[in-house]
Amino acid sequence: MSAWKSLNRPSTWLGLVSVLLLCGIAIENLTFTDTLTGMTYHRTQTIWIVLGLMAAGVVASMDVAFVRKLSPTLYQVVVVLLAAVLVVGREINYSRRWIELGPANIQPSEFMKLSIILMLADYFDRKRANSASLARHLLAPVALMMLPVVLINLEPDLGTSLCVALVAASIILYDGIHGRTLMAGLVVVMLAVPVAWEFGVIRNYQKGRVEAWLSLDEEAVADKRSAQSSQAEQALWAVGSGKFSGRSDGDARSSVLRHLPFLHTDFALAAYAERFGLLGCFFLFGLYAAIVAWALHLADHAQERFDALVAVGVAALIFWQFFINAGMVIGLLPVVGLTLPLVSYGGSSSLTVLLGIGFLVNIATRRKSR
Amino acid sequence: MSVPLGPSHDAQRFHGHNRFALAVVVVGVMLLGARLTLVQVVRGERYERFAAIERVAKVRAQAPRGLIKGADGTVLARNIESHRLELLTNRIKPERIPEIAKTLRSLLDMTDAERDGLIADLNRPVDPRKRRPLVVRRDLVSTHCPYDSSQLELVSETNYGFCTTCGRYYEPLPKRRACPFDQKKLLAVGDGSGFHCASCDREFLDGDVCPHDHHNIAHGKHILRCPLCRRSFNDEVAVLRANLHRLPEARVVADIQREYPYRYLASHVLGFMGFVSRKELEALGQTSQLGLNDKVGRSGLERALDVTLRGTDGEQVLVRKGGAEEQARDLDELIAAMQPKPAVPGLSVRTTLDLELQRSAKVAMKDVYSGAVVVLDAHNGQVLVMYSKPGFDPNTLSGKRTPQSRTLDEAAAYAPLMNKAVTAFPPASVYKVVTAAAALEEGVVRPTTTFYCGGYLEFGGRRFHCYDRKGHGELDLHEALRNSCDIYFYHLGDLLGLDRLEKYALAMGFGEKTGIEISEAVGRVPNRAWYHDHVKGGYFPGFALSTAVGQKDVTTTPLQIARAFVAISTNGVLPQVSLIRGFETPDGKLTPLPPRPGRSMGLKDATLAFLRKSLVAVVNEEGGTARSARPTVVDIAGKTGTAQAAQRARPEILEKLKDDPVATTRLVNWLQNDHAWFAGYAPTENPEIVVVVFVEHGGSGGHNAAPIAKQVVEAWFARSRVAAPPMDTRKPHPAATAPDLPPTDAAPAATAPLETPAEAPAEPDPNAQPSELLDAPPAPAPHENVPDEGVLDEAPPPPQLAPVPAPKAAPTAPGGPP
Ligand SMILES: [Zn+2]
Ligand SMILES: [Zn+2]
Ligand SMILES: [Zn+2]
Ligand SMILES: [Zn+2]
Repeated sequence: MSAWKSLNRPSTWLGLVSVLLLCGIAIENLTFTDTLTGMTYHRTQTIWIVLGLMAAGVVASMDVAFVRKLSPTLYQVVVVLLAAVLVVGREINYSRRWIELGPANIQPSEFMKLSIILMLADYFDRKRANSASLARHLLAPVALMMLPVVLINLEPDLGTSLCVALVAASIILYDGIHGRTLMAGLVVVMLAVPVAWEFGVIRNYQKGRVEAWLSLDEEAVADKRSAQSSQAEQALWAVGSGKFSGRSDGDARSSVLRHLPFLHTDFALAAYAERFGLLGCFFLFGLYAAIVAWALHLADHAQERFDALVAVGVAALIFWQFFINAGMVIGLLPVVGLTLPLVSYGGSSSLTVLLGIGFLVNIATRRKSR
Repeated sequence: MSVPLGPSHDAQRFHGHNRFALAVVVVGVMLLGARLTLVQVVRGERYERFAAIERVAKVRAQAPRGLIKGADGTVLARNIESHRLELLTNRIKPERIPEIAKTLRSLLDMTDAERDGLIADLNRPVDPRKRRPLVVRRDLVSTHCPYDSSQLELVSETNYGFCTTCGRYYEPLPKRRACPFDQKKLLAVGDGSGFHCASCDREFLDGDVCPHDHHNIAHGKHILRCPLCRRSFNDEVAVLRANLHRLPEARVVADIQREYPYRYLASHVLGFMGFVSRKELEALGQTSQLGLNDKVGRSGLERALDVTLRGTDGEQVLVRKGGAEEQARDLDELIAAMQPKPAVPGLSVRTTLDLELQRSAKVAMKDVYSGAVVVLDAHNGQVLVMYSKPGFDPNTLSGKRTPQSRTLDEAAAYAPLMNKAVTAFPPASVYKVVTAAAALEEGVVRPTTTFYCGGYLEFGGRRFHCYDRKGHGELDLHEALRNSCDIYFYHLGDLLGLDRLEKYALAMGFGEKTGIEISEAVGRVPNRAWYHDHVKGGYFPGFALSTAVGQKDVTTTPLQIARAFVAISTNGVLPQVSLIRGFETPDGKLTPLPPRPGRSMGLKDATLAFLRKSLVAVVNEEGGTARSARPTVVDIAGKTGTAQAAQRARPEILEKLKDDPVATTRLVNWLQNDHAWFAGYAPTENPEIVVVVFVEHGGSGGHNAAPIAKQVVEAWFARSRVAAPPMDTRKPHPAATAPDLPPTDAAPAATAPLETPAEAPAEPDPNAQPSELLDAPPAPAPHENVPDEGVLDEAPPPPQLAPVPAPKAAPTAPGGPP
């Protein structure tokens, strides 16, 4: 079966069109927020999207065996970079996340998102025969996951480390573990949270966000009089102002978001939701759901275990980022520094997601027909 | 090598997992959708309203503080517009700090020390979330003279040079190298073309190049000039605003400054303002409208009436537009919904102070280091004069800049912040009126009863002396009061006993607060219980003898004595003393304070009449101790007092004065002297005023206090008889604001731990700026024993950064009568 024939299916088109629509929404939304922030993020983002799409095309047509061979090396390189960033990284907003490479700042943690997918997929593919061994099947992948998670959390970048952890956990679970192990794992996680809370792993500002979220009680602010609200509250007011079909007056300067920091990144959805309302948001959610469904569909129909796990990894990457970011903006979750895939401003982040899409297309060309 | 997923067990398992993953995604998206529906549809309206409110800011509309006025309406404390320069520390990049300091140094005429302090402040690490703007200057010159608060005049003057780069003004260089304003030697600046007078802070220049930065000097500019001190100023606000593009981290903020045009004249009555401390804010809690940048009254009326003067802040609604905050014009509906509240201005206070008489008291006290004058209206107990020396300039304490950054001042050793009119001291013979009243009321003697004074009295194994060691011979009560014979009163003390003495002292208003509006000491009327608690060995009958002549442990405030003398001189009723005539609304409507009833002392008319007759004799009869107080214009009655009060200087004060042997000697000698008192009233028939003069370590009551009272009485009657024109209420009298002091080199002096009236809470000013407090006018050249007028009075308070030490009771007189 030719590659084109494998590709030319409604599911593929649905997924790819969704991706392109998200890219378009990103540029439109950044054009709007730029009028508030006075920056030119929409141009930079356009360049990154074009670069990312080209890179995705390269990945889509690559020999996957080559990538597989490289994946352990890639993982090691990114881990080294993550360690290096703690030492030589550039500090922005009290966090060391960036390494300066000439004109561009790269964020190794972003590339770990993809690297961990390839690493785990490759690992499970090779180790599948010994699935009975607990050490091989659970402890090693968990170790592979925890190393970057801890390093990223040291930057500190809770959002990205959470994202890497969720992606890795999704792959591990998808590959399958014993029920007993699953239960044990859940118990460990449930015990770990209060311990982390008490013993300083969770930083004070992060605790503050959680507390702010817990107190995001509508009754308490029902008689709001003063203009002193948290970021999360301001974002929530903005989303609420969108109502069913979006704000009609469209006066950018009157937006409550004007002074919101991270408006072009973490809170991009708030700007979108304010303007397009519930309808627009459902459309956006639909696009993400379509991409994730497409990726899961590919995983279900993959020829190889590696392909299936990579597809699941990309699905998890997009879904968890989307879910956490959207949940945070609409007050369902506490504020975590995670961007909305493709829609938020950010070169490394968009490139990572688009490379993931490239892998999906690559897998789609080799899917089995059913 | 890849492993294909055949139709195996794996594929089955994976398919199940895939279904599960899809379910997770579906549930997740549904969760988001449900929450979004709640936020956007169910609560959309409310959140939209919140968002609208978010655009609108409710800011505080600060109520203007009420004025403090004299009895005739002269403004004693007012608000003037001022500007402060702030640096937005969160915007300052470390590498910009030297540049900022350099620019401000040139724009603001900072000293090197100030610049270094600024750099240190900027380099101090601060938690970024706690950063607040750094205030560089609180009173930029633009409308008022920073030295004396006179309104500046804009004049065109070609003789002055103006450096457009650093903003300095230069006076023409005089032929003689001496300052034409104060004759001090000029110091060369830079290459020698410029000169600086360190004494009055003026710059002089011969030439066209600024000696500070070598830029060209412009002539014939408009300058601001002070009509009072004739200094020229550069409009610092204008210069800064024109240069703000060079300092994006800085901003000039309009501010309201409290200002006291009469400076030293009534500083203790008025008090001063200070920044509210974090602790106080916490104590006030949420209900308070105060913030960290607000000032509150720190002493005197400013403190006592703080709430009344402050008014009630309102709320102003501002709408943010394009990042800036503008006064809202549109959005009327929204603003109305926000319910803005206008501020309610504080009430102005009309005091009872007669400023002209207050000034007379100040002049009369000019040769005195330390003391107080209280004048009460004999008709109603209103305080006409309350003057305490040394004084302080409340402008300085409230944050104004003064001429030079001088070190410390000798006057600090004389407790300038202490209001001596309401501080308790041993009253000495003035207290004999209490003893005499008690003796007559209790019938232990009759006016005709005589005792023999041989110069001393043996009692309980001790020898009690009369101040007149030769002895007065045989005298009756009238003569004993007139001549202030101690022996007679020892007998009375013995006959009465301590308990009955206490009873009448309390009846005559001693040992209790007078109820004046400002904080005051209670004084002490000792009784057996007190001696039991405070004296080793407990009560000893000899204590009654000391108390009978007002020595040892009894202390009273000048105000308490004045109140008792009002009662004695009139109908035996202690009046409600008051500093407040009434309150004024901003539109000038005066609501007088309702007259408050006094309290009768419970003395018989005969007793009062006897006391009055004796008090007249003290001043007017041969042998009276206050013959020196006999004025020419009117009859006066009164009683002198000389309290033994020799003290040693406190070591911490001596330590501060150690570099100035002259000042040290002066202080040590001063402390050896007795306290001098005079309490009296005039005229003797239908008295109008009661005058109490207290001179701390001033010598003898007859020689050192009575003449001061005489001057005050003469000033009062000179005016009431001639019906002098009312005071010019618009401009402060130069004599009141800037006493002409000989500006010589500053004498380094001490920061005395200040004394506050006993019982009065300490009055720390935790936020005072040390550099501003340290500014002190010059002290006199060392000469004679008595410093000049103004020397002590001009003295600003010392840099009192630590809380004032625990209130200290009046100095205790040494045991035993004189
Ligand atoms: Zn200059
Ligand atoms: Zn001079
Ligand atoms: Zn002046
Ligand atoms: Zn005698």
